[in-house]
Amino acid sequence: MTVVETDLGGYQKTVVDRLAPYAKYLLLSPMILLMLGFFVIPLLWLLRISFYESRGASGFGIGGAAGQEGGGFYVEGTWTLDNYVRFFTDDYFMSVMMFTIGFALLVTLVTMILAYPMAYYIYRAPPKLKTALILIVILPKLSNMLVLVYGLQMLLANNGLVNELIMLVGVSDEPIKLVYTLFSATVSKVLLVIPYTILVITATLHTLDPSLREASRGLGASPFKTFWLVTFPLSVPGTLIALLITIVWALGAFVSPSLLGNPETQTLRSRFRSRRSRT
Amino acid sequence: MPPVLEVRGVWKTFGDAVAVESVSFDVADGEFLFLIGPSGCGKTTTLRMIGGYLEPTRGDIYIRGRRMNDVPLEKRNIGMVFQSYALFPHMTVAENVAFGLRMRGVPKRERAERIANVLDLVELSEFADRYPVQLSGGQRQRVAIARVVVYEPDILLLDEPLANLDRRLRDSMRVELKKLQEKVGITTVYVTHDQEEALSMADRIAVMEGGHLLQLGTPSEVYNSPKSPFVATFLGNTSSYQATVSSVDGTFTDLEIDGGLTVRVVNGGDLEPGENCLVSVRPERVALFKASPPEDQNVFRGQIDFLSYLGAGVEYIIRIDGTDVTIRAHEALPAGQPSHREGESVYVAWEPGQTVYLKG
Repeated sequence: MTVVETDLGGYQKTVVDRLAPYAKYLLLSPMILLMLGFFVIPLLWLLRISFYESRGASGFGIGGAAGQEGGGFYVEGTWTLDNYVRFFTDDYFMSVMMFTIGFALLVTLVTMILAYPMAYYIYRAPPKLKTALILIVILPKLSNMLVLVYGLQMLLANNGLVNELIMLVGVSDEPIKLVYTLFSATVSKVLLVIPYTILVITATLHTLDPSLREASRGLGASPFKTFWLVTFPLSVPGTLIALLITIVWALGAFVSPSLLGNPETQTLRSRFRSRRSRT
Repeated sequence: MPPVLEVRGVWKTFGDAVAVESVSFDVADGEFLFLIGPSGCGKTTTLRMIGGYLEPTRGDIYIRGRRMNDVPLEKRNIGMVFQSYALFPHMTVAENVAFGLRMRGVPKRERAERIANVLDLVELSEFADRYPVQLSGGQRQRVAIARVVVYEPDILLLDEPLANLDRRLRDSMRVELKKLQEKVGITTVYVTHDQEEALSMADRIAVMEGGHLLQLGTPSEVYNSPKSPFVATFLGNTSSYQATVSSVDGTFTDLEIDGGLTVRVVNGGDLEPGENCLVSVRPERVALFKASPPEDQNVFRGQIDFLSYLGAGVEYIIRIDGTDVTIRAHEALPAGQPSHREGESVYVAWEPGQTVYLKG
């Protein structure tokens, strides 16, 4: 190091020179501050609260410690594991948690089964069709999530379009109960998540060198074998990322189960919300 | 023996754009044919039609007498080496090479034997278990060739296989590739825009431009007797001029070129006075003299305008006195030093028989 500096003709580094290499971290700072202020610190605060002793009150309308206006939820400054013990021993909470996980897995499975073929079709489509298809995929994202869910509620209702069609075709004489079921909750959640899944898989497929497919065909592989032996294995890393995104989204499901499901289809997030509103 | 590959009046259009226009040629068993031309000339499109990666708009392609037009590419038994090599990144060298054999249902034991043989042939035996990312450019290139040679395709197609290698490696791969092609004896079609590759490796060269096949012949035929101005200027350096026939005199014909100079050529018997043509002469056919140039040759006095030192040789650009006409002369440098300097006055001279003329 010293030698190098001597070679530079004994140039003395100024303070600015020494700080310059760290300037790149300035690029990160807005996001770091945002995450710290609105996510990490509140989450740590919540973690601390979870170890406070309970005051017995439901606590919603969180007003802080006892004695304060609207308070009574927790006793400040105490340490206890009671809350955790109660959560993990209460059948009700456990069943809600199991449902949350099961629902997420179901949504992820359905989403992946629908998304991969669609993404592959977009990947292989000619340029104009490709643009149109990508637009169609992201278009639902233009509308508010609640609008989409209420729209689905109307569509799947007993006197909704889907049921009218079912009766018209003659599959059934009377409307089939579609809304407020696991089915409708799943459909709406899949619809909310699938654009992201499709886009991530499509992007992954586009990173593959198209000549790999041509090479495989030229070596004697049928289109199906080419997909199975070349395209699919190479798309696995990106597809796993899509899977991860889908699971995380599905775990946080809230609107779909509560608005389109029934009391049986309550996830942790929607359960917390309804407990709060009951009080 | 009938030709292995027959291309018969093949056209390819993309919308209104014509990429290949009425191209026909044959490739004999074991022959090494080059398709050469500038980018956009239709050479790669032609290659892709032979391989089945594109369907001809019109015309037919036969391989070993069988019409191939509607045969899917995986059923054609052709080996294609891509410019990017297109090695499967998730498979080892051995697995890449095994791919074509697996698709052909070759039993495992025989497969292993053939893979070992072909990796030996391209000198990559120690690399069988490596992944493509762990190989150098030249090694990847050899894997790409081994991967197709191993299943003994009817035809080997190469799309600019040396374009991604650096100059030094390209020169050595050129020799290796030619030796390999001779050893395996496989019928090969090779696309390139590099005239040196074509001239040094080809049995025959097909020169393409604007979708047309302009000339097909051995390297020395296309180099020494180009049939069109494009072929004359595309392969190698040349000095060429528009000219008008001024007099025809038995064996020799005099042509007047733009600067008012008279150039003598050997008459092929097809030139009439007043006709227009293009004359060209290769730099290496032009000799420079400080004084007393030979008689009975095309001799002009001029001044050396520019000198490019090329290591093994030197190229001069000479401006003919009293005109704007320039001519290139190439001098091999056995002694190491150029015999002339910039600005020097010299005589340029070449034999009439070394002048190429093209009518029209």
